[in-house]
Amino acid sequence: MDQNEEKMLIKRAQSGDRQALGLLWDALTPKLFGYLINTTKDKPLAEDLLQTTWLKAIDNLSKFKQQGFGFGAWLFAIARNEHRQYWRKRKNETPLVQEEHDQPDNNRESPEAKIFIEQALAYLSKDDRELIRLRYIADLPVKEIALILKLNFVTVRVRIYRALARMRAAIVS
Amino acid sequence: MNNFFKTIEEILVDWGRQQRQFPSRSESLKSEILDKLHPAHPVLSKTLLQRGNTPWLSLAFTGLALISLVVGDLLPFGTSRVATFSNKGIEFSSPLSIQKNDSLFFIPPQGYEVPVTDGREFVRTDYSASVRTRHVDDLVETVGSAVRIFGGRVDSSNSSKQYGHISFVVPAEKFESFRRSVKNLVGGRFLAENIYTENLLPQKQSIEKQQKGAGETLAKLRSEKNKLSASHKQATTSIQPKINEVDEKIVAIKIKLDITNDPSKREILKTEERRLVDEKSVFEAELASENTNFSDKLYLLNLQIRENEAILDNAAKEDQKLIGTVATVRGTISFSWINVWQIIRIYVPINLVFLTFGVAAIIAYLIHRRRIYLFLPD
Repeated sequence: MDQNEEKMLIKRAQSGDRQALGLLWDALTPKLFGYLINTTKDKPLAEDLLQTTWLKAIDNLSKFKQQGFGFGAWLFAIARNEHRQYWRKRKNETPLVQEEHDQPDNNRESPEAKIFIEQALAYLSKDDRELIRLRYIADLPVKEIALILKLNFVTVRVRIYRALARMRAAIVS
Repeated sequence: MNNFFKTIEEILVDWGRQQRQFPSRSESLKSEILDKLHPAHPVLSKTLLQRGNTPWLSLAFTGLALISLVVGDLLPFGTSRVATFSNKGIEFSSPLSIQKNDSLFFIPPQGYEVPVTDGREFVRTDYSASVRTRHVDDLVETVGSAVRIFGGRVDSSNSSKQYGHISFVVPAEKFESFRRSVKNLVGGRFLAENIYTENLLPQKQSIEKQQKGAGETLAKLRSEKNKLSASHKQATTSIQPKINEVDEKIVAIKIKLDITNDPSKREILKTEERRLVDEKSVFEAELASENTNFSDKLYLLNLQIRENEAILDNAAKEDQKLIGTVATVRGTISFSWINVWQIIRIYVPINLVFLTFGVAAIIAYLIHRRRIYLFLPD
Protein backbone atom coordinates (compact mmCIF):
# COMPACT_ATOMS: atom_id res chain seq x y z
CA MET A 1 0.00 0.00 0.00
CA ASP A 2 1.48 3.33 -0.99
CA GLN A 3 1.13 6.62 0.85
CA ASN A 4 -1.70 7.97 -1.24
CA GLU A 5 -3.76 4.84 -0.82
CA GLU A 6 -3.14 4.87 2.90
CA LYS A 7 -4.08 8.53 3.08
CA MET A 8 -7.35 7.87 1.30
CA LEU A 9 -8.19 4.90 3.51
CA ILE A 10 -7.51 6.90 6.65
CA LYS A 11 -9.75 9.69 5.47
CA ARG A 12 -12.50 7.25 4.75
CA ALA A 13 -11.96 5.50 8.08
CA GLN A 14 -12.12 8.85 9.86
CA SER A 15 -15.51 9.41 8.26
CA GLY A 16 -16.63 6.05 9.62
CA ASP A 17 -15.95 3.74 6.69
CA ARG A 18 -15.49 0.28 8.24
CA GLN A 19 -14.31 -1.24 5.03
CA ALA A 20 -11.48 1.23 4.78
CA LEU A 21 -10.49 0.50 8.35
CA GLY A 22 -10.67 -3.21 7.60
CA LEU A 23 -8.23 -2.74 4.74
CA LEU A 24 -5.90 -0.86 7.02
CA TRP A 25 -6.13 -3.66 9.54
CA ASP A 26 -5.27 -6.21 6.89
CA ALA A 27 -2.29 -4.23 5.69
CA LEU A 28 -0.77 -3.30 9.03
CA THR A 29 -1.71 -6.01 11.52
CA PRO A 30 0.74 -8.69 10.25
CA LYS A 31 3.65 -6.27 10.59
CA LEU A 32 2.45 -5.01 13.93
CA PHE A 33 1.78 -8.43 15.36
CA GLY A 34 5.05 -9.82 14.00
CA TYR A 35 6.87 -6.95 15.62
CA LEU A 36 5.08 -7.46 18.92
CA ILE A 37 5.73 -11.19 18.89
CA ASN A 38 9.42 -10.63 18.27
CA THR A 39 9.59 -8.02 20.97
CA THR A 40 7.61 -9.68 23.74
CA LYS A 41 8.32 -13.33 22.89
CA ASP A 42 4.84 -13.92 24.26
CA LYS A 43 1.91 -14.52 21.91
CA PRO A 44 -0.92 -13.79 24.33
CA LEU A 45 0.80 -10.61 25.42
CA ALA A 46 1.42 -9.66 21.83
CA GLU A 47 -2.27 -10.13 21.05
CA ASP A 48 -3.28 -8.02 24.04
CA LEU A 49 -0.90 -5.30 23.01
CA LEU A 50 -2.14 -5.51 19.45
CA GLN A 51 -5.71 -5.06 20.61
CA THR A 52 -4.84 -2.20 22.96
CA THR A 53 -2.84 -0.48 20.22
CA TRP A 54 -5.65 -0.62 17.70
CA LEU A 55 -8.25 0.48 20.20
CA LYS A 56 -6.22 3.51 21.14
CA ALA A 57 -5.64 4.29 17.50
CA ILE A 58 -9.35 4.07 16.77
CA ASP A 59 -10.23 6.31 19.73
CA ASN A 60 -7.89 8.97 18.46
CA LEU A 61 -8.32 8.39 14.78
CA SER A 62 -10.20 11.64 14.27
CA LYS A 63 -7.21 13.57 15.58
CA PHE A 64 -4.69 11.88 13.33
CA LYS A 65 -3.20 14.07 10.61
CA GLN A 66 -0.72 12.71 8.14
CA GLN A 67 2.15 15.14 7.93
CA GLY A 68 5.46 13.65 6.88
CA PHE A 69 4.80 10.24 8.40
CA GLY A 70 2.37 7.40 7.86
CA PHE A 71 -0.39 5.84 9.91
CA GLY A 72 1.83 2.80 10.34
CA ALA A 73 4.54 4.81 12.07
CA TRP A 74 1.95 6.15 14.47
CA LEU A 75 0.56 2.71 15.11
CA PHE A 76 4.01 1.31 15.90
CA ALA A 77 4.75 4.25 18.17
CA ILE A 78 1.56 3.50 20.12
CA ALA A 79 2.51 -0.18 20.25
CA ARG A 80 5.99 0.64 21.62
CA ASN A 81 4.49 2.91 24.20
CA GLU A 82 1.99 0.26 25.30
CA HIS A 83 4.75 -2.29 25.55
CA ARG A 84 6.89 0.07 27.60
CA GLN A 85 4.02 0.77 29.95
CA TYR A 86 3.43 -2.94 30.34
CA TRP A 87 7.07 -3.61 31.24
CA ARG A 88 7.11 -0.72 33.62
CA LYS A 89 4.63 -2.66 35.60
CA ARG A 90 6.47 -5.93 35.14
CA LYS A 91 10.01 -4.50 35.42
CA ASN A 92 11.46 -7.44 33.61
CA GLU A 93 12.47 -8.49 30.18
CA THR A 94 11.66 -12.00 29.12
CA PRO A 95 14.91 -13.86 28.34
CA LEU A 96 15.44 -15.49 25.01
CA VAL A 97 13.73 -18.89 25.30
CA GLN A 98 13.53 -21.13 22.30
CA GLU A 99 10.17 -22.69 23.15
CA GLU A 100 8.48 -19.33 23.04
CA HIS A 101 9.61 -18.86 19.48
CA ASP A 102 7.38 -21.53 18.15
CA GLN A 103 5.73 -19.98 15.18
CA PRO A 104 2.28 -20.65 13.86
CA ASP A 105 1.83 -23.08 11.06
CA ASN A 106 2.04 -20.50 8.31
CA ASN A 107 5.65 -19.72 9.15
CA ARG A 108 7.72 -20.81 6.18
CA GLU A 109 11.04 -20.29 7.89
CA SER A 110 12.87 -23.33 9.05
CA PRO A 111 13.63 -23.45 12.77
CA GLU A 112 17.38 -23.62 12.09
CA ALA A 113 17.36 -20.49 9.98
CA LYS A 114 15.17 -18.71 12.51
CA ILE A 115 17.51 -19.53 15.40
CA PHE A 116 20.52 -18.53 13.30
CA ILE A 117 19.09 -15.04 12.86
CA GLU A 118 17.93 -14.80 16.45
CA GLN A 119 21.40 -15.75 17.63
CA ALA A 120 22.91 -13.14 15.36
CA LEU A 121 20.45 -10.64 16.79
CA ALA A 122 21.55 -11.59 20.30
CA TYR A 123 24.94 -10.03 19.56
CA LEU A 124 23.22 -6.70 19.15
CA SER A 125 22.21 -4.29 21.85
CA LYS A 126 18.59 -3.93 22.84
CA ASP A 127 18.29 -0.66 20.92
CA ASP A 128 19.85 -2.13 17.78
CA ARG A 129 17.48 -5.07 17.90
CA GLU A 130 14.63 -2.63 18.07
CA LEU A 131 16.01 -0.91 14.98
CA ILE A 132 16.19 -4.19 13.09
CA ARG A 133 12.62 -5.05 14.02
CA LEU A 134 11.26 -1.71 12.95
CA ARG A 135 13.24 -1.86 9.74
CA TYR A 136 12.65 -5.39 8.62
CA ILE A 137 9.53 -6.65 10.36
CA ALA A 138 7.56 -3.39 10.48
CA ASP A 139 9.07 -2.42 7.12
CA LEU A 140 9.18 1.24 8.11
CA PRO A 141 11.37 3.75 6.28
CA VAL A 142 14.39 5.13 8.15
CA LYS A 143 12.75 8.54 8.44
CA GLU A 144 9.74 7.15 10.30
CA ILE A 145 11.96 4.94 12.50
CA ALA A 146 13.88 8.10 13.47
CA LEU A 147 10.59 9.78 14.32
CA ILE A 148 9.40 6.88 16.47
CA LEU A 149 12.71 6.55 18.32
CA LYS A 150 13.18 10.36 18.50
CA LEU A 151 16.56 10.13 16.88
CA ASN A 152 18.28 11.91 14.06
CA PHE A 153 17.76 10.40 10.60
CA VAL A 154 21.50 10.03 9.99
CA THR A 155 22.00 8.43 13.40
CA VAL A 156 19.44 5.78 12.59
CA ARG A 157 21.02 4.98 9.24
CA VAL A 158 24.47 4.68 10.76
CA ARG A 159 23.25 2.48 13.58
CA ILE A 160 21.44 0.13 11.18
CA TYR A 161 24.61 -0.09 9.11
CA ARG A 162 26.71 -0.87 12.19
CA ALA A 163 24.17 -3.41 13.41
CA LEU A 164 24.40 -5.25 10.11
CA ALA A 165 28.19 -5.18 10.35
CA ARG A 166 28.07 -6.64 13.84
CA MET A 167 25.72 -9.35 12.71
CA ARG A 168 28.08 -10.17 9.88
CA ALA A 169 31.02 -10.36 12.23
CA ALA A 170 29.01 -12.55 14.57
CA ILE A 171 28.06 -14.90 11.76
CA VAL A 172 31.63 -15.13 10.47
CA SER A 173 32.99 -15.83 13.93
CA MET B 1 32.04 -7.31 1.22
CA ASN B 2 29.20 -5.34 -0.27
CA ASN B 3 27.73 -8.55 -1.68
CA PHE B 4 27.93 -10.10 1.76
CA PHE B 5 26.19 -7.14 3.27
CA LYS B 6 23.55 -7.35 0.61
CA THR B 7 23.12 -10.99 1.47
CA ILE B 8 22.70 -10.13 5.13
CA GLU B 9 20.12 -7.54 4.23
CA GLU B 10 18.28 -9.91 1.96
CA ILE B 11 18.24 -12.48 4.73
CA LEU B 12 16.83 -9.93 7.11
CA VAL B 13 14.22 -8.81 4.60
CA ASP B 14 13.10 -12.40 4.22
CA TRP B 15 13.24 -12.92 7.93
CA GLY B 16 11.16 -9.83 8.51
CA ARG B 17 8.59 -10.89 5.95
CA GLN B 18 8.35 -14.23 7.62
CA GLN B 19 7.85 -12.68 11.04
CA ARG B 20 4.72 -10.94 9.85
CA GLN B 21 1.58 -12.82 10.73
CA PHE B 22 -2.00 -12.44 11.77
CA PRO B 23 -2.92 -13.32 15.30
CA SER B 24 -4.80 -16.50 15.88
CA ARG B 25 -8.03 -14.67 16.73
CA SER B 26 -7.56 -12.12 14.02
CA GLU B 27 -11.16 -12.00 12.83
CA SER B 28 -12.64 -11.47 16.29
CA LEU B 29 -10.13 -8.78 17.03
CA LYS B 30 -10.81 -7.16 13.70
CA SER B 31 -14.56 -7.03 14.20
CA GLU B 32 -14.05 -5.70 17.72
CA ILE B 33 -11.91 -2.94 16.33
CA LEU B 34 -14.31 -2.18 13.49
CA ASP B 35 -17.20 -1.97 15.92
CA LYS B 36 -15.38 0.73 17.81
CA LEU B 37 -15.21 2.87 14.73
CA HIS B 38 -17.55 5.82 14.73
CA PRO B 39 -17.86 8.72 12.31
CA ALA B 40 -15.43 11.47 13.04
CA HIS B 41 -16.94 14.35 14.96
CA PRO B 42 -16.19 17.68 13.42
CA VAL B 43 -14.54 18.70 16.60
CA LEU B 44 -11.97 21.33 16.34
CA SER B 45 -9.89 19.74 18.98
CA LYS B 46 -6.22 20.05 19.06
CA THR B 47 -4.67 17.37 16.92
CA LEU B 48 -2.15 15.22 18.61
CA LEU B 49 -0.07 14.59 15.60
CA GLN B 50 1.09 17.85 14.28
CA ARG B 51 4.15 19.82 14.00
CA GLY B 52 4.02 21.91 16.85
CA ASN B 53 4.91 21.98 20.35
CA THR B 54 5.23 25.59 21.23
CA PRO B 55 8.69 26.62 20.07
CA TRP B 56 9.85 27.51 23.55
CA LEU B 57 13.50 27.81 22.64
CA SER B 58 12.73 30.16 19.79
CA LEU B 59 10.46 32.25 22.02
CA ALA B 60 13.14 32.35 24.70
CA PHE B 61 15.71 33.64 22.23
CA THR B 62 13.22 36.17 20.91
CA GLY B 63 12.58 37.41 24.44
CA LEU B 64 16.28 37.72 25.11
CA ALA B 65 16.74 39.57 21.84
CA LEU B 66 14.03 42.06 22.75
CA ILE B 67 15.46 42.54 26.23
CA SER B 68 18.91 43.15 24.79
CA LEU B 69 17.44 45.65 22.35
CA VAL B 70 15.84 47.62 25.16
CA VAL B 71 18.73 47.30 27.57
CA GLY B 72 21.41 47.54 24.88
CA ASP B 73 22.00 51.24 25.08
CA LEU B 74 22.45 51.00 28.82
CA LEU B 75 25.37 48.63 28.44
CA PRO B 76 28.78 50.20 28.94
CA PHE B 77 30.05 49.05 25.55
CA GLY B 78 28.48 51.90 23.68
CA THR B 79 29.75 54.79 25.73
CA SER B 80 32.83 56.53 24.75
CA ARG B 81 34.66 58.49 27.30
CA VAL B 82 37.47 60.77 26.73
CA ALA B 83 40.16 61.28 29.29
CA THR B 84 41.71 64.65 29.57
CA PHE B 85 44.55 65.61 31.79
CA SER B 86 44.20 68.67 33.92
CA ASN B 87 45.52 70.05 37.17
CA LYS B 88 43.00 67.92 39.03
CA GLY B 89 44.23 64.73 37.38
CA ILE B 90 42.43 62.70 34.77
CA GLU B 91 38.96 63.99 33.98
CA PHE B 92 36.43 62.25 31.84
CA SER B 93 34.12 64.04 29.53
CA SER B 94 31.59 63.02 26.93
CA PRO B 95 33.09 62.42 23.59
CA LEU B 96 34.71 65.58 22.48
CA SER B 97 34.55 68.97 23.93
CA ILE B 98 35.84 71.79 21.89
CA GLN B 99 38.86 73.20 23.62
CA LYS B 100 38.90 76.88 22.90
CA ASN B 101 42.13 78.49 23.91
CA ASP B 102 42.57 81.83 25.63
CA SER B 103 41.51 84.85 23.64
CA LEU B 104 44.04 87.45 22.52
CA PHE B 105 45.02 90.54 24.48
CA PHE B 106 42.90 92.74 22.29
CA ILE B 107 39.24 91.99 22.50
CA PRO B 108 37.10 93.99 20.13
CA PRO B 109 34.79 96.31 21.99
CA GLN B 110 31.19 95.33 22.47
CA GLY B 111 29.09 96.00 19.44
CA TYR B 112 32.10 96.22 17.19
CA GLU B 113 31.18 95.01 13.76
CA VAL B 114 33.56 94.20 10.97
CA PRO B 115 32.63 96.04 7.80
CA VAL B 116 31.68 93.77 4.93
CA THR B 117 34.11 95.53 2.64
CA ASP B 118 37.02 94.07 4.52
CA GLY B 119 37.35 90.59 3.11
CA ARG B 120 40.57 89.60 4.78
CA GLU B 121 40.82 86.35 6.72
CA PHE B 122 42.98 85.73 9.72
CA VAL B 123 41.83 82.27 10.61
CA ARG B 124 42.69 80.78 13.94
CA THR B 125 42.36 77.01 14.03
CA ASP B 126 42.05 74.85 17.11
CA TYR B 127 42.07 71.10 16.73
CA SER B 128 41.02 68.41 19.15
CA ALA B 129 40.67 64.71 18.56
CA SER B 130 39.87 61.54 20.41
CA VAL B 131 41.52 58.26 19.46
CA ARG B 132 40.63 54.69 20.49
CA THR B 133 43.54 52.31 20.25
CA ARG B 134 44.97 49.14 21.74
CA HIS B 135 48.47 50.61 21.94
CA VAL B 136 48.15 53.88 23.79
CA ASP B 137 51.80 54.34 24.80
CA ASP B 138 53.20 53.69 21.35
CA LEU B 139 50.66 55.84 19.59
CA VAL B 140 51.25 58.85 21.83
CA GLU B 141 54.93 58.64 21.02
CA THR B 142 54.27 58.18 17.31
CA VAL B 143 51.95 61.17 17.13
CA GLY B 144 54.53 63.24 18.99
CA SER B 145 57.10 62.30 16.39
CA ALA B 146 54.64 63.16 13.64
CA VAL B 147 54.18 66.63 15.15
CA ARG B 148 57.91 67.22 15.03
CA ILE B 149 58.21 65.86 11.51
CA PHE B 150 55.68 68.42 10.35
CA GLY B 151 57.65 71.23 11.91
CA GLY B 152 55.53 71.51 15.01
CA ARG B 153 56.15 71.47 18.71
CA VAL B 154 54.87 69.20 21.46
CA ASP B 155 53.81 71.27 24.43
CA SER B 156 52.79 68.44 26.74
CA SER B 157 52.42 64.70 26.61
CA ASN B 158 51.11 62.06 29.04
CA SER B 159 50.48 58.39 28.56
CA SER B 160 49.65 55.23 30.43
CA LYS B 161 48.33 51.80 29.48
CA GLN B 162 44.74 53.02 29.40
CA TYR B 163 44.87 56.72 28.58
CA GLY B 164 47.09 59.26 26.91
CA HIS B 165 47.07 62.93 26.01
CA ILE B 166 49.19 65.21 23.87
CA SER B 167 48.98 68.92 23.16
CA PHE B 168 50.95 70.50 20.38
CA VAL B 169 51.20 73.22 17.72
CA VAL B 170 51.87 72.69 14.05
CA PRO B 171 52.30 75.23 11.25
CA ALA B 172 48.97 76.08 9.66
CA GLU B 173 50.19 75.29 6.18
CA LYS B 174 51.15 71.75 7.28
CA PHE B 175 48.09 71.11 9.36
CA GLU B 176 46.11 69.21 6.74
CA SER B 177 49.04 66.91 6.01
CA PHE B 178 49.47 66.31 9.70
CA ARG B 179 45.77 65.48 10.06
CA ARG B 180 45.96 63.00 7.22
CA SER B 181 48.97 61.32 8.73
CA VAL B 182 47.18 60.93 12.07
CA LYS B 183 44.16 59.49 10.30
CA ASN B 184 46.37 56.99 8.46
CA LEU B 185 47.99 56.01 11.73
CA VAL B 186 44.83 55.21 13.63
CA GLY B 187 42.16 54.54 11.01
CA GLY B 188 39.15 56.72 10.41
CA ARG B 189 36.76 54.61 12.50
CA PHE B 190 38.82 55.06 15.65
CA LEU B 191 39.28 58.80 15.32
CA ALA B 192 36.84 61.53 16.26
CA GLU B 193 37.91 65.07 15.37
CA ASN B 194 36.78 68.56 16.16
CA ILE B 195 38.16 71.56 14.32
CA TYR B 196 37.30 75.01 15.54
CA THR B 197 38.07 77.97 13.30
CA GLU B 198 37.63 81.64 13.94
CA ASN B 199 38.40 84.62 11.78
CA LEU B 200 40.43 87.04 13.87
CA LEU B 201 39.76 89.96 11.57
CA PRO B 202 37.97 91.98 14.28
CA GLN B 203 41.03 91.61 16.48
CA LYS B 204 43.29 92.55 13.62
CA GLN B 205 41.27 95.62 12.85
CA SER B 206 41.27 96.58 16.49
CA ILE B 207 45.05 96.28 16.58
CA GLU B 208 45.40 98.31 13.45
CA LYS B 209 43.12 100.98 14.86
CA GLN B 210 45.17 101.08 18.01
CA GLN B 211 48.35 101.33 16.04
CA LYS B 212 47.01 104.13 13.89
CA GLY B 213 45.68 106.07 16.85
CA ALA B 214 48.83 105.66 18.85
CA GLY B 215 50.96 106.57 15.86
CA GLU B 216 49.05 109.75 15.18
CA THR B 217 49.11 110.75 18.82
CA LEU B 218 52.81 110.04 19.01
CA ALA B 219 53.54 112.16 15.98
CA LYS B 220 51.47 115.00 17.42
CA LEU B 221 53.26 114.77 20.74
CA ARG B 222 56.65 114.78 19.13
CA SER B 223 55.70 117.78 17.09
CA GLU B 224 54.56 119.54 20.23
CA LYS B 225 57.82 118.65 21.89
CA ASN B 226 59.77 120.12 19.04
CA LYS B 227 57.68 123.25 19.13
CA LEU B 228 58.17 123.51 22.83
CA SER B 229 61.91 123.14 22.53
CA ALA B 230 62.00 125.71 19.78
CA SER B 231 59.95 128.26 21.70
CA HIS B 232 62.05 127.70 24.80
CA LYS B 233 65.20 128.21 22.87
CA GLN B 234 63.78 131.32 21.36
CA ALA B 235 62.70 132.58 24.77
CA THR B 236 66.05 131.89 26.40
CA THR B 237 67.83 133.36 23.42
CA SER B 238 65.88 136.57 23.77
CA ILE B 239 66.21 136.87 27.56
CA GLN B 240 69.85 135.95 28.09
CA PRO B 241 71.33 138.76 26.03
CA LYS B 242 69.25 141.20 28.02
CA ILE B 243 70.66 139.78 31.21
CA ASN B 244 74.13 139.99 29.78
CA GLU B 245 73.58 143.58 28.72
CA VAL B 246 72.33 144.53 32.17
CA ASP B 247 75.33 142.76 33.67
CA GLU B 248 77.65 144.82 31.57
CA LYS B 249 75.89 147.99 32.57
CA ILE B 250 76.16 147.03 36.19
CA VAL B 251 79.85 146.36 35.76
CA ALA B 252 80.32 149.75 34.08
CA ILE B 253 78.54 151.53 36.87
CA LYS B 254 80.64 149.70 39.43
CA ILE B 255 83.75 150.86 37.66
CA LYS B 256 82.46 154.39 37.63
CA LEU B 257 81.66 154.17 41.33
CA ASP B 258 85.20 153.08 41.99
CA ILE B 259 86.64 156.12 40.28
CA THR B 260 84.03 158.71 41.37
CA ASN B 261 84.26 160.41 44.73
CA ASP B 262 81.53 162.94 44.18
CA PRO B 263 78.73 162.01 46.53
CA SER B 264 75.98 163.30 44.26
CA LYS B 265 77.34 161.42 41.27
CA ARG B 266 77.88 158.39 43.39
CA GLU B 267 74.25 158.60 44.49
CA ILE B 268 73.06 158.77 40.93
CA LEU B 269 75.31 155.84 40.01
CA LYS B 270 74.06 153.75 42.96
CA THR B 271 70.45 154.51 42.01
CA GLU B 272 71.21 153.37 38.48
CA GLU B 273 72.96 150.33 39.80
CA ARG B 274 69.95 149.40 41.93
CA ARG B 275 67.65 149.89 38.98
CA LEU B 276 69.85 147.70 36.80
CA VAL B 277 70.01 144.99 39.47
CA ASP B 278 66.23 145.03 39.69
CA GLU B 279 65.99 144.81 35.97
CA LYS B 280 68.42 141.93 35.97
CA SER B 281 66.35 140.16 38.64
CA VAL B 282 63.27 140.54 36.51
CA PHE B 283 65.06 139.08 33.52
CA GLU B 284 66.49 136.27 35.59
CA ALA B 285 63.07 135.52 37.04
CA GLU B 286 61.66 135.50 33.58
CA LEU B 287 64.33 133.10 32.47
CA ALA B 288 63.83 130.87 35.47
CA SER B 289 60.10 130.83 34.89
CA GLU B 290 60.65 129.98 31.25
CA ASN B 291 62.98 127.13 32.24
CA THR B 292 60.52 125.78 34.79
CA ASN B 293 57.66 125.96 32.32
CA PHE B 294 59.72 124.27 29.72
CA SER B 295 60.77 121.46 32.11
CA ASP B 296 57.24 120.76 33.22
CA LYS B 297 55.82 120.74 29.75
CA LEU B 298 58.69 118.66 28.47
CA TYR B 299 58.22 116.15 31.26
CA LEU B 300 54.52 115.77 30.46
CA LEU B 301 55.17 115.51 26.76
CA ASN B 302 57.87 112.86 27.29
CA LEU B 303 55.51 110.92 29.51
CA GLN B 304 52.80 110.96 26.92
CA ILE B 305 55.28 110.07 24.22
CA ARG B 306 56.50 107.09 26.26
CA GLU B 307 52.92 105.94 26.88
CA ASN B 308 52.07 106.05 23.22
CA GLU B 309 55.27 104.32 22.30
CA ALA B 310 54.33 101.60 24.76
CA ILE B 311 50.88 101.34 23.19
CA LEU B 312 52.45 101.04 19.76
CA ASP B 313 54.88 98.46 21.05
CA ASN B 314 52.09 96.35 22.58
CA ALA B 315 50.03 96.64 19.43
CA ALA B 316 52.99 95.41 17.42
CA LYS B 317 53.43 92.50 19.80
CA GLU B 318 49.75 91.65 19.61
CA ASP B 319 49.91 91.84 15.88
CA GLN B 320 52.83 89.44 15.91
CA LYS B 321 50.95 87.18 18.25
CA LEU B 322 47.91 87.22 16.01
CA ILE B 323 50.00 86.42 13.00
CA GLY B 324 51.67 83.67 14.97
CA THR B 325 48.30 82.29 16.01
CA VAL B 326 47.02 82.31 12.48
CA ALA B 327 50.20 80.73 11.24
CA THR B 328 49.94 77.79 13.65
CA VAL B 329 47.30 75.35 14.70
CA ARG B 330 47.04 74.42 18.34
CA GLY B 331 45.80 70.96 18.99
CA THR B 332 45.15 68.29 21.56
CA ILE B 333 44.63 64.59 21.09
CA SER B 334 43.26 62.23 23.76
CA PHE B 335 43.91 58.52 23.58
CA SER B 336 41.97 55.74 25.24
CA TRP B 337 42.37 51.99 25.19
CA ILE B 338 39.74 49.98 23.32
CA ASN B 339 38.83 46.33 23.85
CA VAL B 340 37.92 43.78 21.19
CA TRP B 341 34.20 43.96 21.87
CA GLN B 342 34.25 47.75 21.35
CA ILE B 343 36.15 47.27 18.08
CA ILE B 344 33.48 44.86 16.88
CA ARG B 345 30.79 47.33 17.88
CA ILE B 346 32.49 50.01 15.79
CA TYR B 347 32.55 47.82 12.71
CA VAL B 348 29.09 46.39 13.32
CA PRO B 349 27.10 49.31 14.65
CA ILE B 350 23.92 47.35 15.35
CA ASN B 351 23.40 45.77 18.69
CA LEU B 352 25.33 42.51 18.37
CA VAL B 353 23.66 40.86 21.31
CA PHE B 354 20.27 41.53 19.76
CA LEU B 355 21.50 40.21 16.42
CA THR B 356 22.92 37.05 17.98
CA PHE B 357 19.74 36.26 19.88
CA GLY B 358 17.63 37.15 16.88
CA VAL B 359 19.54 34.76 14.63
CA ALA B 360 19.40 32.07 17.31
CA ALA B 361 15.63 32.55 17.58
CA ILE B 362 15.21 32.16 13.83
CA ILE B 363 17.42 29.07 13.70
CA ALA B 364 15.62 27.52 16.68
CA TYR B 365 12.28 28.15 15.02
CA LEU B 366 13.42 26.65 11.70
CA ILE B 367 14.73 23.56 13.48
CA HIS B 368 11.48 23.33 15.40
CA ARG B 369 9.45 23.52 12.21
CA ARG B 370 11.45 20.75 10.64
CA ARG B 371 10.85 18.47 13.54
CA ILE B 372 7.74 16.40 13.52
CA TYR B 373 6.52 15.43 16.91
CA LEU B 374 4.77 12.16 17.25
CA PHE B 375 2.42 12.49 20.16
CA LEU B 376 0.91 9.40 21.57
CA PRO B 377 -2.58 9.13 22.99
CA ASP B 378 -2.87 8.44 26.71
